[in-house]
Amino acid sequence: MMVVIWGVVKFIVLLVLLSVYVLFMTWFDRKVIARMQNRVGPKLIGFHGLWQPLADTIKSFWKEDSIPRGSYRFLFWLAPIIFTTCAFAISFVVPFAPPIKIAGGVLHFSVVNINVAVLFVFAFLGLASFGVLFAGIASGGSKYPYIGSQREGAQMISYEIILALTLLNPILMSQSLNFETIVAAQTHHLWYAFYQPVAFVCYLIAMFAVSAKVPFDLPEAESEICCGYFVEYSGMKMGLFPFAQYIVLLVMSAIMVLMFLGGWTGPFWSGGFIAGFIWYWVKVAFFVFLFTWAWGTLPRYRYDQLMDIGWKILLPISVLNIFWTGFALSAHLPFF
Amino acid sequence: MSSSDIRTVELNMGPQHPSTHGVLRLILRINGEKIENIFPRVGYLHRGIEKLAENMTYQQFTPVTDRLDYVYSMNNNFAYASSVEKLLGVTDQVPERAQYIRVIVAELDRIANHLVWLATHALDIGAMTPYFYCMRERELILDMFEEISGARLLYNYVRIGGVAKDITPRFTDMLKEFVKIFPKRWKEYDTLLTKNRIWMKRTKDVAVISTEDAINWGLSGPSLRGSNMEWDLRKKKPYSVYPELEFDIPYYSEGDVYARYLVRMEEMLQSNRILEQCIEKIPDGPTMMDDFKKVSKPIKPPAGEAYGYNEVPGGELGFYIVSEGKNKPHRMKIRAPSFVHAYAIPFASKGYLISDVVAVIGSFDVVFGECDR
Repeated sequence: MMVVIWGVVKFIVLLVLLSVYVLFMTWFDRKVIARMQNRVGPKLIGFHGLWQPLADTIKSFWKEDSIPRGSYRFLFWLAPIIFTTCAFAISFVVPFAPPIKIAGGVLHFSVVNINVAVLFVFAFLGLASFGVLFAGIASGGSKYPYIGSQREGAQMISYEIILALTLLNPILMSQSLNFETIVAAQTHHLWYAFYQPVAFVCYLIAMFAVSAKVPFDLPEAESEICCGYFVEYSGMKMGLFPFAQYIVLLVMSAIMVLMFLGGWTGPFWSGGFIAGFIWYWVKVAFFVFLFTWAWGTLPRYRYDQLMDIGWKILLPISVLNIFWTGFALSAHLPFF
Repeated sequence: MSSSDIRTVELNMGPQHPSTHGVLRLILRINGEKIENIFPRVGYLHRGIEKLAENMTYQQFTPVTDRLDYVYSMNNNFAYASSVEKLLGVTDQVPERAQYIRVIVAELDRIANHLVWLATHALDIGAMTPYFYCMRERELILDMFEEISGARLLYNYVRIGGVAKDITPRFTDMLKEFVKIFPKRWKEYDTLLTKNRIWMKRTKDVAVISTEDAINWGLSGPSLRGSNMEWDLRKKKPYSVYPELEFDIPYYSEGDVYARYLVRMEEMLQSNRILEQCIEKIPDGPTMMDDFKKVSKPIKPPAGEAYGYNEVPGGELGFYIVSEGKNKPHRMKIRAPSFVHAYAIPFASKGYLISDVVAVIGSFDVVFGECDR
């Protein structure tokens, strides 16, 4: 009983924190990109426009929620729900702070601390692409959403393979699917990014592609297919898509830090909850910022080029890399 | 299953679409993402400007030419004024100072147009930041135009027989400042895009047009120069004071979107070079022919025809004017580069992907005020 109540409390806290995070991120994104482009960004509502995201949310809730004629209403409703649920689900297993020992037990800062966490993330990430596919199909023959969802579906599926293959290396090395164990394994050695530079880079690219951000933002390319799969959505139903995307973006960055950059360990001043917490969030924040940075700098790839990069370059490299890791581990090469 | 069994889909791109630059409507017939065919539909901005010309005196029509391609209005004024002067046979009598001022504003406007082109072209391909950098410099040019003509978009500054007003000392200062800083600012766009891997992947070998095809489709200006054709009316059929100025014609042999991009980028620097020389060389003197100082005084060209052409940023803009000796033209035909280029879009982008269509539209720099007239 205690476990269930504890889980619910954690769930509610996470829900609130993630919502605040997404609101803050929309402001942060706009402010940073404005700084890069000689603009001011949101300025009027609150201190430097800090309440702007809140105002946007209120607006989204009060907007007319139109459902186009000829759309499949059930799927049309279901799509944003699936997408958001899956985004939340993957955030449940990710620890957001180092565990602390209190009163004989261990307090984990994830909603559930399961032993197959990485597998769980893949499962729900795969399911999330259904939300996008449904959004495109349910829009009732509207062609731009259809093209957008096709792109997103293909992109997510092909890059999740690469994501899984690259994450297999830290899993092989730590022999665990639990994030906290993987981080603990890295405290004994160097961070896995130094053992696995190839996997690190491949994951970095795949991370951008899976969360559909520049330069891989083809599913919602505004200048080609006018925002892609959620063209026909309006009001808060539309707001849920970017909302969930921001959460996916955070989780992908968190996984990057946990799997390759030693989570809450630092090169110096490590140990202890405060130090771990700060190290962890500094690293995660860097990757979240990286998304915004790329957004302000890079053009967009073309659909076939994206597929080429995935299937012809990244996939063979990551497969070979797994063989190398397996060989190195079984042969007990130095450092492995 | 043979390829004819696969259902092709018709996709409406425009008239309200972020990258059709105004009101172009393209009906794409697509197979997956591949373009099978494109049917352009133009005319959403049709105002009957050629017909309007028949009911206006020659001077009255000058402000209407602003509305052709509203991104380079100065060049439109210039082209129209020189066409009417050709019809009147007074091309040589336009004061030297006016000629220089015309070249200055035309070249400034060329830079301003290319900045808008670069901004939107980059935005279409997904790079957002160059847009704001380009607009920052365009703002400087618009401030200069405001100083001399009072307007920021539709200037009505270059008039038949000269220019409306003399340039002010403040304008000259601003111009000197601009000429100095522009190459540095140009470098910023260049570093963001030219050697960018993604940019090159998106633009190289896309929409390749051979020299022969480019000529057959009637392309002109930078779009023609991207296809290995050294053709610039400022050099090949010199007008105004261009023969006295030193500049190169950039041209590239690849014929793809990237080549056209390089041509336009290079042209901005060449225009800057022309401006530098104009600041040095501009003489003192009147800025308007005495005959045309009064706008109310009717112009009555002798019966006959004349075709005046200018190298505007988009290509060759020509005015074919037929006069019957009255104060209004009998007939006026405008050769608009945008119209020609709009109809080369299907040819250029057949067999490529949807993403390439927006790159092609951007690379031709079509503006629909001029295309639809």
